[in-house]
Amino acid sequence: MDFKKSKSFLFPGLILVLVILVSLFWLRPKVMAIIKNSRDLVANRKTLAELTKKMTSLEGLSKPELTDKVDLVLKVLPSEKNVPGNLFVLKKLALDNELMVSELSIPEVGEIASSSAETQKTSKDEILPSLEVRLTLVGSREKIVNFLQQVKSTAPLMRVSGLAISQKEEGLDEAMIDIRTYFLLFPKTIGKLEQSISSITPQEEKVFNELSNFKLFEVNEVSSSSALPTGKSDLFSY
Amino acid sequence: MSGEIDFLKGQQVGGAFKTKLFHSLKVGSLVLILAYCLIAGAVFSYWLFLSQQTAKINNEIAVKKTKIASLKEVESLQLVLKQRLSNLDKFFSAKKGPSFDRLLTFISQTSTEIKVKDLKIAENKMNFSGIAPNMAALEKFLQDLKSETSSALFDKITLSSVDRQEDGSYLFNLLLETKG
Repeated sequence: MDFKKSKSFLFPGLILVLVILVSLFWLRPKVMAIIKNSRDLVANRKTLAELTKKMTSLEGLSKPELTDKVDLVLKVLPSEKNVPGNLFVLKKLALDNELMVSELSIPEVGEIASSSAETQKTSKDEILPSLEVRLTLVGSREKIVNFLQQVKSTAPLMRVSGLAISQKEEGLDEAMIDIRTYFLLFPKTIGKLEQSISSITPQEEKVFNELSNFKLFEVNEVSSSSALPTGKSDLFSY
Repeated sequence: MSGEIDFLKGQQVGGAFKTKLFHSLKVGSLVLILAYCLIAGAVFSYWLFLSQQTAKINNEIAVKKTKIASLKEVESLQLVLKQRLSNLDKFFSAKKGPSFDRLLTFISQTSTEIKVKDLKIAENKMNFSGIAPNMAALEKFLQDLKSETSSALFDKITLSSVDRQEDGSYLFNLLLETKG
C-alpha cells in the first residue's frame, strides 16, 4: 500500500522536478537572453537609423565640390604656420602697392605645427592660433592705407595688430606694421563611425562666400619664375 | 483505530477521496506540463525571433558601415570644412579691433597741414605726435577731431602736450582711445 501510495506521488513529483530543472537551466538563460536581445535590438535599431542618416548625408555630398571648397578654405586658413608663404604674400602685396619693404621679420616663430602649437595659440580672446610678422614699409600714406585694406581680404587670413608711422620726408612715410597670420591644425580624429555628420549652417555658408572674395597668390608661380638657371636636363643631347 | 471496509471494492472507506486526490494530482501534473511546454515554446519562439532580428540588423549595420567607410574621404573633407568654417565664423563675429586703414585715412584727411612725426596704434590706443606749422593749423586740426566721423572712431581724445618750437611751429602729442 505504501509503495502504491508513493507511486501515485512519483509522477507529479517528477514533473515538478523536471519543471524546476528546465526552468533553471534552460528557460532562465533564454529569458535573460531575450531581455538582453531586446535591449540590444533597440540600441542597434537606433545605430542603424543614425548610420542610414549619415550615409544619406554623405551620398548627398559632392566630392569634387567639397574638394574645391576645402582647397579654398585651406588657402585662407592653412593647417600650419606657413612662414615662407606668409612672407611671400606680404612682400607681394607690398610690391603690388608700390611700397618698399625695408624690413620683414618674425619675432617668434615657435613650433611650426604641432598640438602644442595649437594650445599655445592663444591669449584668452583669440579664437585662432596665429603667427606674428613685423614688416616695415616705405611709401605714400595712400598706398599704406591700400595695403592695410588689402591685408584684410588676402589669403592666408591676416589681421593688423599694431601700426607705427613716421613721416620720412614730404609725401613719404615709414610704417612699421605688426600683422597676425592665422592658421588652424587639422582635427585630431574623424570621430566615431556612428557619429552623425554636421552640416554647414547658412551662417557658415555666408562665411564661405566671404572667403571666395579673398585675394589669392600662387606661391609656386614665383618660386618657379625666380628659379635659378639649371644645367642640362638631358645629358645625351649636344 | 477502527475503520470501515468497503467490501465491494475491497478497500477501506475514505480511499475514494485519496484516489480522487491522486487522480487530480496526475491530471494537474499533466496540465501543468502542458502549460509549461506552451510557455517554454513561446519563450523559445520569441528568443528565436529576437535572435534573427538582431542578426539581420547587425548585418545591415555592417553593410552600412562598409559603405560609410568607402565614403571616408568625403567625410574627412566635410569635417575639415566644417571645422574651419565654424572657427572662421567665430573669428569674424568676434569683437574686432580698431580698423587701422580707417583710422589712418581719417588722420590723413584731417591733418593736411600737420606733419606726422609719429603715429602708433595698438590695442585701441593711438598715440599721435605731430608738428603744426602754426597755432591756427593746430586749432583747426583739433576742431576737426571733434567732428561726427571722429566720434564714430574714438571714445576719448586727450591732448597731452603742446610745445612751441624755435621756428614757430608747434609740437603736440595726442592720446586717442579708439572704438571697437
